[in-house]
Amino acid sequence: MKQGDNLAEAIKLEGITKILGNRQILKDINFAVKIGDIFGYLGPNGAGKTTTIRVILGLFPPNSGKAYIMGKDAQDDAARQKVGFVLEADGLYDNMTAYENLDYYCRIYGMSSALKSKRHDDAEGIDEMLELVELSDRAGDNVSSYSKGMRQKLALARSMVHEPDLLIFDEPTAGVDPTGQIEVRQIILNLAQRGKTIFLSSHNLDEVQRICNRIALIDQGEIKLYGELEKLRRDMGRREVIIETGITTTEEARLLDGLVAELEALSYVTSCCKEAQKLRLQLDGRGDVSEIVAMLSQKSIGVEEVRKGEISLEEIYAKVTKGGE
Amino acid sequence: MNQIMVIVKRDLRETLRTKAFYVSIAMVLFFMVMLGGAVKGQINTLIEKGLSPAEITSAAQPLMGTTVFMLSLMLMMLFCMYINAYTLTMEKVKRSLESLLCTPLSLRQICLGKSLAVFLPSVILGLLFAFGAIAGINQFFIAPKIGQFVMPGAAPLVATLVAVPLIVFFLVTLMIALQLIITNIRWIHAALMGLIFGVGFGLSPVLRFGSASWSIVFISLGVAAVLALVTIYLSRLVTKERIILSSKG
Repeated sequence: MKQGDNLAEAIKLEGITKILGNRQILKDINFAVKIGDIFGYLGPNGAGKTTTIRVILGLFPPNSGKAYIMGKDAQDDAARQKVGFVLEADGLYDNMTAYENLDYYCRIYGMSSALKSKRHDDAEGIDEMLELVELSDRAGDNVSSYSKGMRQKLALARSMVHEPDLLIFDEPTAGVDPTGQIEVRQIILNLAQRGKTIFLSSHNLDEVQRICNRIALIDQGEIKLYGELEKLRRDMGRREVIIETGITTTEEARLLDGLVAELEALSYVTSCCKEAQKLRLQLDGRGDVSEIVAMLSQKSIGVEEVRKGEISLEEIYAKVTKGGE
Repeated sequence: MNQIMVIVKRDLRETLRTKAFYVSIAMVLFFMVMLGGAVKGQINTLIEKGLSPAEITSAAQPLMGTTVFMLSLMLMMLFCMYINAYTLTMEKVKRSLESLLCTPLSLRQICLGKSLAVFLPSVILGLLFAFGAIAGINQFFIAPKIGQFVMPGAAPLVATLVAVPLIVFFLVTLMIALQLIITNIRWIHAALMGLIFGVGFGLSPVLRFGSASWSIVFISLGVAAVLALVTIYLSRLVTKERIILSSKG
């Protein structure tokens, strides 16, 4: 990607590998975050999420591959001019007030010099951010007196103070109480509505499911899954078929039990399990459901409904991280 | 340069809010009272020998030179240790440094900002206290006896105003570089403490040969040059990755 190209991707990782010590943390990582995405980056602890973020933010140079942010090489300091971030550790200065923390970062990004003639505007910018995260009334308090939730909200405000186009959040709700989590999530959604591109690393699946449109799932340093969340759910769900049978007697239940082994033996059935009156089958995409229905009919087992399975992000996550998919 | 000064100003403000800074001032004041007593004794010895004011002046001048040179060097190093011990250690522990590294600032800007935030107050305070001591010694012990002030010679003045700040600047830069990449920062502070005493004892014989001579300027500039070379060599090892990984400890 060259600078000046029509920018469509806020983040692009091409074949990133990262070795720390003698351990390969990232193995050939490839994905792109499009402009306007709320991109969820999922993975269990130790999967390589934070290392990926460090590569994106230019803290770690990759051993091989290239990372780009906003069309520029991530190792280029200037590439981070329009990038906001909240890292695992909030990085706030405890001895400074909320206002001073934001003012400091304003100046680091060169905001004060640009707005020197309009200092009032500069102050308004900080005030606006504090209002957005509902910390205006505590703006003059030292950050050391803040709760974890308040600190995270202030870190979010700090990430926005220079009006970035891309925001990178590493576990922004970790350690925050449920009310705080809802507030932080709402702030992130508000930011997305303002047209910001958001990269959200999390292992809170509910959070990702609620707010992200695209995801990548990393496990043991490898990207296991990547794409649009709804499409992934559809695609993975399409392979699951739920058959509601009309069994009522013990004899029918016994017949159904016997059929499970037969169905599992079919080449296109990857798994089959019986849940009360239901049969839950995983197909590999080649199979024909009508053949299965016919087999049930041959055993005189009535079929009341056949429907595609709905797969949640949690189920996708479990399947992928356990190596089932 | 603007962004560097933003770091310097914030760190200075942080320094002024720390107890360690005021403890260092109190320690220096105590040290100066002790030093004043020692110098007073030396001046009295000269007077008791029955020397004329002109002879006392020529005998006291090297003493003033040694005092201003040694005092400025040791005070600057002491302030460096106290100021630096708090700010950078806390930034690594609280991981605020990691956030700073994610901004568009270059590593060089951050290192320079952090170094200047330690160097500037240390040099200003060191010079202020050292020349304050000279003024005090003259005001209270010399002028009442011989009716005039005895100032240090040109060589120790140049050494104090040029060479010593250069030594301190490269020492601070070296210290910051090491602190950034070494997990156990206490080792750096212990090393610096050793260096302060080492310089104190090590320079004593050199000064005996004549603090008023220009050799002190050249020796000091040589020390600064060696420190500069070591700093330049070691600064190659300072990378964002090393800083982050050493912050974990």
